[in-house]
Order: sequence, then structure tokens, then C-alpha cells
Amino acid sequence: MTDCTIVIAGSAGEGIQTIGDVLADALSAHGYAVFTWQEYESRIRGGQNTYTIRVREDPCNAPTWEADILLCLNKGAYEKSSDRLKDGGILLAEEPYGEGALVIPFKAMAKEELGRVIYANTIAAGALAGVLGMERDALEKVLDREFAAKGPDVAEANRKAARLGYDAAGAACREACPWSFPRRGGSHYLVAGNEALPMGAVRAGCRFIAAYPMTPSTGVITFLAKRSEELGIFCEQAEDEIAAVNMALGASFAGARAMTTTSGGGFALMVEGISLSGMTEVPVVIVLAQRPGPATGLPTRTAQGDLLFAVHAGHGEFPKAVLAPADPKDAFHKMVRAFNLADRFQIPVIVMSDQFLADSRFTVPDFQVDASRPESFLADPKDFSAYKRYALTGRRLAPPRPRREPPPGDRRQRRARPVGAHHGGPGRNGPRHGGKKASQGGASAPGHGASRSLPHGGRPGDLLFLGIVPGRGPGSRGPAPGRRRARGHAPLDRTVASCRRDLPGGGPALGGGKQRHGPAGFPPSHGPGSDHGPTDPSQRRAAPHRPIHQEGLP
Amino acid sequence: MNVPDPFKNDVEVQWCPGCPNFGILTALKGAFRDLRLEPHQVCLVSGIGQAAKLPHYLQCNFFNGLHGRALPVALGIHAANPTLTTVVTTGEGDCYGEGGNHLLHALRRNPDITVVVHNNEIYALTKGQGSPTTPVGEVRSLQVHGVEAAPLNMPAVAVLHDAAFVARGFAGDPDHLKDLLAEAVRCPGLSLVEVIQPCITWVRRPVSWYKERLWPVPPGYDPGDKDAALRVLAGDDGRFVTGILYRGPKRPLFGERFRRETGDEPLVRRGFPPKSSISALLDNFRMGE
Repeated sequence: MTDCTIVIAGSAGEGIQTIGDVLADALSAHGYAVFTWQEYESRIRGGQNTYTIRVREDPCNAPTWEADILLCLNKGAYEKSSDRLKDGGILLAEEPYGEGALVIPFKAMAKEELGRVIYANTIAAGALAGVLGMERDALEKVLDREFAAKGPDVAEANRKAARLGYDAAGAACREACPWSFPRRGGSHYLVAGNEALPMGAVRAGCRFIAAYPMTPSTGVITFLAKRSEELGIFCEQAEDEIAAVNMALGASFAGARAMTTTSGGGFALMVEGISLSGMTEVPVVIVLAQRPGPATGLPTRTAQGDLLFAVHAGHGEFPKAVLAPADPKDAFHKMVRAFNLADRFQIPVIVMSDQFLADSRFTVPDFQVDASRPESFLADPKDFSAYKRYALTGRRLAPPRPRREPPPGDRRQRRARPVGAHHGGPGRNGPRHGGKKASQGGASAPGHGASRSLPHGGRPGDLLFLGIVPGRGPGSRGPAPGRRRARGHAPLDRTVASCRRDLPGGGPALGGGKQRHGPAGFPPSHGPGSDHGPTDPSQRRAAPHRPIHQEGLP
Repeated sequence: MNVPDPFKNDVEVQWCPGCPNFGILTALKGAFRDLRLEPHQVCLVSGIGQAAKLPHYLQCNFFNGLHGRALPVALGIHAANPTLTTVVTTGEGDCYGEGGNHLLHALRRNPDITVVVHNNEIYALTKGQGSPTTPVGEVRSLQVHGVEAAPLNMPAVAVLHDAAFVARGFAGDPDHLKDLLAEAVRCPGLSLVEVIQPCITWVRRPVSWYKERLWPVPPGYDPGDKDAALRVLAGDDGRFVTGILYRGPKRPLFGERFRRETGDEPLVRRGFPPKSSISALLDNFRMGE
């Protein structure tokens, strides 16, 4: 069975993303199950990043650490990544950095043959196709699509560049390269979490998104902003995360399905808004793409340390739902579910993501779009004359919001009075800091104090936990009985299951750390985030305590 | 002729008896009537503070949210349903202090909403601390040696950033204020109306003290003249310049391009997308034959 890992290493700005995307797309288009993951630094140029592609015949959406083929775009990349190369693996490089490297001078070739260094990346992609034993025209369709906007000359030059690289690699490694990737039939999707999440939002009928850019969440609003007019989704870059969540609440209050996205510190800023959503019973969906560490944290690294923060986000008590998708397909469906839950229960719903889910591209055989559809839980205005949004009905749910045509602005709603919550205030009978609600609004509602501020008759502490049980993700395999349970909530869970499957005899039980910075099963000192020291908390040593009484002090 | 006021409701008002906020409430209701608006066509948005209580005392849609965050909520409401007349009622602590950032960015975006700032130069609901507009030297409960930080001149900032409409009124003159508010709502783009609102509980200056310092813009004043507007606002030396201070040049409105491209149907009436739209999106990621 084929299972080949290609690692492309280089600095930010050198083009590893282009090379990786072109090759991954081509392999995927040839019918192979591709999984890609990226490791990058918080900088636009320089540093040392990697783009890893794993190719198999059947989908296994999990990363591998060791490379069968390593392409290094510079010496620093070789120094950082050479230890990932398997014994007998192929090193492909511009210069002879290591022993036995296949040396192909991409830049010189680009300059000499095509007149511009810019084609070096396509030559490198072509060389990888050659090393992999793909067909000579394997990259052409992908390149044509990639460069279509730049005109036929550019597309043609890129085709030529790919062939140059392909031939050079073929000449250099005829016996050394055992791989062969002929075209296979069939089709599937190659998609990242940051593409599936917004597509789920589209499916759910989201009409408004406001967000402040924050890695690794930014891809979600970027995806929608590019297609804003085509999809009829209003996209706004907020001045800060507080504005973002409040804008989403405003749009939702007016009757449009609305969401926001953020990461750790931005989510911390949104917490008061989440509380407001709970208090006013205005639905909102928040994608929380976690990052490791407190404060600013590590923007480009992966972690799942914020689950409890999300579950408990917000002062006061109110119900909320927290969903954790396992992979892009699950992310698509969980987004639809998030909007439906938010609408049905009139609550904030948080969807957990992380850099691994957001940036990795997974092979998905079928999305089964019909399995999720937007559901409306809004009341028909014909059913009421005086609409009392916050009436105490004795039922679990507050009266449904009116169906979406009429919210504020419709004549039928003339007597309707959606109301905000009133915070504390000088109520003579009410508790100072309890929320107050009157059925039709009004700041003064003696007798309706904080006890009513648990909407829907929920009891204090009622929370919805959905999809966060380790080892229970759809299609994943739970840990074997008697084994220590692998840790990590949903996105990691898939990886855990995949890795266990790949290890001899099912492998030892994995995990143990409740917060991992790298995909499970990786050597802690080598995983993403490795330049920040050991990442498995069980391996981290606390800094020695400073003695209270130091020498020389009394 | 005695027509019942459609904006009147029977909620108990929680301001101090005799508070000039009552004048602002009267003026706002009057402006809505003059504009022939009906309650269901209006959405008031507020944050926290005495001014932020105002929406409770009108019969219309409203959202009373977090301290300082009325503007982003109003932007969301306006984006989702621009057919509503969206008005933010806020105080200087809420709008210039806690939520100052949002006002700056609202000036950049130019949404067609009206922001009414009750400026009483004090934090009244928290019992008398200095606010972003308290004059230097005035002793307040937390500024026991007098305010040291300089007051903010947000109307001047709004002029500098070409707000569509900048005006200042006086809570003690509801008739004049009503006309300013109606004009602010009529004017497309972001309208900022600052209302000088004496605090009769914590500041304890007689209303006459304010009246003596009101300085209506002189006849012949041209609100289209940015330099003139900045001059009268910068030379505010203890006086309160009132009237229509500035009308900015025509600028694109927040959401205007989106509506031009996608149609005028408000987002709230667009319903769920057809399945075909999601299939088309997914096709971008479909690989192989």
C-alpha cells in the first residue's frame, strides 16, 4: 500500500505554499487521498516553515513526521528539517546540502530557460512530480487553473517550467525513486477546516459575519469576504473583537443569522458579548480557533487548551452550546448545527477549531450536504397580536422570535417589542447586578430579578456539551478497552485514531497530555511549536522557584 | 386635535425627577413624529448609563446592551435591516469613554445612523466621577484634587473625519433639539448630535448657568465650511456652541456597495440559500474525474 510523505521546507515568502498546493492538488486530482499540514511562524518573510503532504490510496487524514521526500529551498531549511528524512529517502535541493542529494538548480534553470527566477517554484513542483513518478503532464491542469487569471503566456511558461523540473528529476533519480503515481479514477474533496467552516455557515443561512483578523481563525471570514456579493453575506472587519461580537449580535437581533470568528485573546475580549447573548437570548455563533499559551499565545501553532474556557465563558449563568468538529466534513455539518441550535435555544454557540483543523487539507470522499439543513425556529407573526418576547411562559423555551421576515421593522410587529436586557440599574426592588426582563421590556420590572435571567427555565449550571467526547467522533475508533484513553477533543481525536491504526499492532495508547501543541504521536521536541521547547505538559519542567529568602537579604 | 402619541409607553421612568433627560426624550419623540415615523420603523440602541435608559421609555424596537457597545450593535442592526431608522442614545461616558474606539471607526464607516450623545460632563449613574468631557480642575468624587486630564472634543473629531452631520443642542430647549434630531435622522450617513444635558443631582449648577453659556451659531454660518466648524468648536472656551455645526461632503455609506451589488432586499428577508449555492461552492474543492 502506498503511503508517501513529501516535506517542502523553506522560508516564508519563498513559495512553499504554492509548491505544496500545486502538488497536493495534482495528486488529489489524480485520485489519491492527500492530507497536508503546515507549520509556520508568525512572520511574512524569512524563518523556516514546512508544508507536508501525505499521499495514500485510501484517506488517512493524519500527519506523518518522517519524510520519504524532502525538498529544501535553502540551507537553513535543510538544517532544520533534514532529520525528518527517512533512511533511504530522497533529498531534493537547489545545492548539495546533504549527502546523496538530488541537486536541481531550480533558480538557475528558471533564469536560463525561462528568463525569470519566479518560475523556480514551478520547476521544483515539477521535479517533485518527477520524483514521485507521476505522469509528465500531471501538473498541467492544476497550473492552468492556478495561473488562468494571469494570461496564457504565464500559464504556458509555468507548464514549461513544470516539464523542465520533471525531466531534470527523472534524469537524476531513475533508480533511486521507487514511487509511481499513475492516474486513478474517482473523485473526492480536498478541503481545509477554514474552508469547510464557512461553507457550513453558508449552508446554515448565515447572512452576516464580523471579525477581527486573528490567526488561525482569519481564513473563515476571508473565505466569505471573497464571495460576499455572490453569496449575499455581509462581511465586516471590526475594529476589535468586542465590536465584532456586538455587531453579530446586532445583526442577529434584527433577524439575520450572524457569526464571528476569533482566537484566544480575541475570544477573551468577546466574553462580555457572549454573556450579552445569553442575557438577551439573541443567538450568535462564534468560531474559536484556539492557539497555545496565555495572553497573545503562539499564533501559528496548534493547541486545544481553551475548551473549558469556552464552556465557561461569560459571567452570570446562562446556557450555551460548545461544539468541536473532528474534521472538515464534520466542521461543515457542525456549523449548520451550531446555527440551528443557536436559533432554537436562543443562545450563543461556540464552535471549536485550532490551527491543525483550520489549515490542514483533508481528503473527504463525500460531504453528504443533505445530512444538514438550516432549520427555522421562528414564530409566525399571525400567531400573536401582542408579541411578548420575554414572557414568562413556564415552558423551557422563551417565546420564539418572530419569523424572519418581520423582526424589527415590520408593521405586523407594531406592538411587538424585542427588548434588550437591563443591567442592574437603580431598581428599587430588583437585585443590583441581576439582569431584569419584563415580558414587553421596560427597565423597571420589580419582581423579575436575576432568577429570570436564566432563560428557558434552565437551572444554574445547565450546559450543553456536544461532540467533545474523545474517541467518539463520527467514524473514529475509540480507544481499546483497558487502554489509557487518548486525549484531545474532536479534531485531534481523528488524528489519534488514525495514528493508532497505523502503528504496529494498533500501537500503544497515545496521549496523556490534555493540552498538546502538536498532532498526537509526534516527538514532543519536534512537533509544531518545537522551537518553543517541549510542548507536552507532562514533559515540561516548572521553572525552579525563586527562594523566598535570598542570600544577602534579611 | 388630540392625537395619541404612538411612541408613548407606560414604563416607569427611572431618571431623577426634573432631569433634563426628560427634555431629550420629549425632543426625540417629537422628531420621530415630525418625520412621520411609526414605532415599528424605529430601532433605538443603547449601552449603559442614564442616557442608555432612554429607549425603555419609548414605544419602539430597541436593544439595550453593554456599556460602550451600542454603536457596533447598531451597525449590525443597520447592516441586517437598513430600512429601520436606527438611533443610538448614549452618554459621553458610554460613547466617548468606554466605547470611544467604536465612535472613531463609525466615523470612518459612515453608516446611516444617528448618534445622540447626552453630555452631562459627569458619570451620573455611578454617582459623580469625572467623565471624558469634565473640564480640567473640576472636583469630582474620584478626582479629589480636580480633573487633570483634558476633556475630549468629539464633535470636533467628527468634523475632522467628515461626519455627515454634526450638531449640538441643549436639553433645556426641546423644541430646538427636536428639529436638530429630525434633521440628523433625515441626513444620510453618520449624524452626531451632542446634547448639553445639565446634571441636576451631581453637578448642581442652576440651569441658568448653562443658558448663559449657550452660544448659537451666528446667522449666516455655513455648516458646509469645515474650517469654520473646526474654529467654532476649537474656540469653545467655556461656551457651548449650538446648532447645526457641520454637514460633511457626500461619502459612500456603510453597506452601500454591498446593497448595490446584491440588491436592496434587507438581509433579514433573504431567507436560506438554495442547496445549489452550497453545491457550487463545494465544487471548487472537488478533485479528480
